[in-house]
Amino acid sequence: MSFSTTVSALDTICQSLFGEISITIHPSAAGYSDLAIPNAISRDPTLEDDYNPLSPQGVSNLILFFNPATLPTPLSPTQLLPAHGDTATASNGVKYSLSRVKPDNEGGYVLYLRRTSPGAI
Amino acid sequence: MLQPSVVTAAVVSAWQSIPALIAQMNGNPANISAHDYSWGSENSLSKAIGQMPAPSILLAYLKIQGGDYDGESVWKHHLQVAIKSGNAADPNSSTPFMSTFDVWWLMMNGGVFGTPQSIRTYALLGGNLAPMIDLPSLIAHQDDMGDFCVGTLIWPEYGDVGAY
Repeated sequence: MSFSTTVSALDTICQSLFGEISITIHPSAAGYSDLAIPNAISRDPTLEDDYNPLSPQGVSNLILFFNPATLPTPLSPTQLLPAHGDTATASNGVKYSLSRVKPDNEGGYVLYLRRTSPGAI
Repeated sequence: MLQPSVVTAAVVSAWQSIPALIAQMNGNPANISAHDYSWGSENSLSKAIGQMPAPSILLAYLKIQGGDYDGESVWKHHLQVAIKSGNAADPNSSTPFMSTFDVWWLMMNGGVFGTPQSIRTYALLGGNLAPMIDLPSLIAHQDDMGDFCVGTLIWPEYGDVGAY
């Protein structure tokens, strides 16, 4: 594999290697369908939680990185990129609301999610 | 002097008796709770506030102030409350969620225990907590995850109650 091929595959490799969070985004905009993100990368929240994001207890604050270009299935015309106000369900069943979306210059997104289903406080 | 956890429990149960406020808490009264500084069984307060789900309300004791205020009150219970409101953009919520400041308005003005009296005028704990004299305040806060508000409330204790 040439160097340029390796470099161009870096995004996809990193996301498949470190992306362990599966989450489904439910758009708040009417008429759009859910977006499944199977390999988002979790960042340590600023406010440390008690558990791992994938534990049965889940976490209250979830900060995720993903790049739409590396999704296994490209976005369809009935799907939107995540926007603040959307809700989401993680693979462990914990429900969240999306409070902030931070795009980067390379096409990636950081999503800030706060838990909505009851959790230990 | 009333036990602090008795005071916080009385305030929480008063808020839990406001139907419109429970609707704002996604229908779950347990989303209104008290932090009692129980080392071991509770997180630190700052961590507990950080982990509050949205919507939820977390009440905590701030301080007790002694003094002879009006000849009838010798203790003032200072409490603080953190408020995180629900997602107003959620199309599937059964009740449209209000802003954090409007949730505070509901907490301060909603009728408690089926009466038209608000928590500011209702004499809690059978009259052992007098209606509020010092009016409550609310201030906005921000962290990485979004906005929330913290309010301060002061209840004078009527007399010197001791065990309740």
